[in-house]
Amino acid sequence: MRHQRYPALLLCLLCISVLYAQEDEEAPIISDWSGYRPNVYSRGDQAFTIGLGLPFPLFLADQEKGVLSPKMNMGGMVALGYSYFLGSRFFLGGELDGAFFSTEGKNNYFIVPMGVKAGFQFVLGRFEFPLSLMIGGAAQQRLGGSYFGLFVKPSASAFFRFNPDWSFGVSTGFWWVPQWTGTRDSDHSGPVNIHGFFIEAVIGARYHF
Amino acid sequence: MKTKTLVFPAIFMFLMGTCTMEPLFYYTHLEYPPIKPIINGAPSKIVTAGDYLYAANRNGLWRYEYPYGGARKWESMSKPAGESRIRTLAAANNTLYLLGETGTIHEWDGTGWSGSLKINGKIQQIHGAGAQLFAGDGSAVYEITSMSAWALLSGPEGLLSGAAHDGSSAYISVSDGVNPGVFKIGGSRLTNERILGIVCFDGKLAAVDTSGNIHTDLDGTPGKISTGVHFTGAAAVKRASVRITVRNTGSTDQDLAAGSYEYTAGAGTFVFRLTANIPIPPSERRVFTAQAQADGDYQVPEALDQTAFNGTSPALHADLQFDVADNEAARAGILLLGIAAGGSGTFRCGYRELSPGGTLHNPGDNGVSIAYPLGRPTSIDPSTKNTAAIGNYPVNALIIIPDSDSGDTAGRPVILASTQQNGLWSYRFRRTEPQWNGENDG
Repeated sequence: MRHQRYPALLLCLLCISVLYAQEDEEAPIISDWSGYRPNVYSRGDQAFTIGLGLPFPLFLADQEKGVLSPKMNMGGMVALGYSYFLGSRFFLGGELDGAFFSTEGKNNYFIVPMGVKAGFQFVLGRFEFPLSLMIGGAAQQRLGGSYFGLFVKPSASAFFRFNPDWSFGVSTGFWWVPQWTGTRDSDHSGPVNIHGFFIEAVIGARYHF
Repeated sequence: MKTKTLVFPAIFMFLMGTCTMEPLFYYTHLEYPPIKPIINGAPSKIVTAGDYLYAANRNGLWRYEYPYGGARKWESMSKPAGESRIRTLAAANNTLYLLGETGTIHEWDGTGWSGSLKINGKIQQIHGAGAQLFAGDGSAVYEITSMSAWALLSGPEGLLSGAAHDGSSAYISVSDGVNPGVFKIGGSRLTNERILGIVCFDGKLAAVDTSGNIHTDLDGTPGKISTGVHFTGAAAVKRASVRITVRNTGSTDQDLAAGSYEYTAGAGTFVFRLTANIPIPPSERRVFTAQAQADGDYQVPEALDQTAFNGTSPALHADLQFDVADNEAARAGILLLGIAAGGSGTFRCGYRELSPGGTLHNPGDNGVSIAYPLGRPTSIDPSTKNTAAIGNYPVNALIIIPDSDSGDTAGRPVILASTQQNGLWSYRFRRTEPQWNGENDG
């Protein structure tokens, strides 16, 4: 007799819960935040970026002789970056890269750019599109010779926010690497100011904190 | 905060201060792709005997007939019977000698291996100086005469590392052992340093030691240049080397005599007496027909006393007189120093130049205007004193021979370098651009 009461009790509870559920559907909450899309980033957010990529030499531009072949092959590079967000869109940071290229004469050209960068970031759902401009210097080396000079790199990236801590994506950058080393000899031979132009393709990961 | 803001400028200033600020893009732009070396591995010394240049690696032996009219290609040669491995080569008295892995010295008579000598089976090195051949077994040094060995009883005891001839005397160097140094054959010891190699430079004797020092004018007023660069023992001197053919221009042209002469750079007036094996004057690095008429693109050097050859009967024993002061290459007298792996400082490979003034220069920056200025280490470009490359390789041995090619390459040098692992590299300026390892490339 006592056990026969339990099914009836369960049935009552079920009915009550269904009634409450019907009340929820019938009376939805009207949010004051409707249409508001919260910013993913805010002032003080930071991110570290690490990337591996392929830099391509495009061409050299001699200030007197025009376009020259760089006589370098596609190389390899690693990129490390840091960003500090001033707000939801703008960020400042720094970047340290390292790249190498084999040359036509079976030598190697090494370059280590470093500098500060400033950028702007678009966010679309879980996709983030930072645009940045890096300005700094680059230590370069070939055989026994070396050069340190200006390095400028505008770049564009696309990252997918995998989770709150990590995002993954690709980026491309355009390098301007001038070498100002002097004036042409009187016989119009010898080195003069030559500008190197490169493009990079990098896959990277960002750690957000 | 203020300290932090100064970090980046400080780093930049430091990097700018430590960099050599060279036009790297310009140098790279002038590079040319090398052809794979014909002689691979770790070649031996490069030696000259007669009209041929010889080089070997452990497994094979090649020769290169470089004067005008020669084959001008690397040709494989047979090894001596019973020798599967080659240890090294040497040349003396215009004859090639080969040291096999068995410790046997073999003599090449121009057509075949005609003689051999096994002293004790322990010979490690052979070096030629003028007409004399020397062999060392790590402790004793032997002079080889007519394929017989004579131990040098006093003086050198240790590892024979080089030999040179200054025109009147022969010298040998010893790098290690009980009694290292430089020894004048039939004379005294000139230095007791551990010497890696010895050459005749600017008419004087020069040597490099194991501490990176260059010893100059050893047989005159010795000097020592401390470089901090570890040179290889096989430093080589730039040489003028040409071939003269004496031709009877009668009804039928007939070559009466021909020969090559390698001249160690210097300056002054030189007199040569013609014999059947004609010495070659230290003039421009071209091939000459020793007669009034120039042969094709080649010219008789102005300083050549051509009257000795006029007439229907060439005077084969006439004296030829040359003033080599007119010869830029000879006047330059630059010593090329190969750099071993692990050299300190900026130069860790390739080579550097030592000018007669006793100062080291980057190749091409020697301040001497010569017809074929050298470029950076591993880089040469005859028109702009830059570029191209012997590769970024440590060098064991260097030598320069004249490019006997016709046209615009005549008289320009071919530089050959034995690298430590990457074969025998050569450079020449062929037609309109530098070319690497192109000896057999037409």
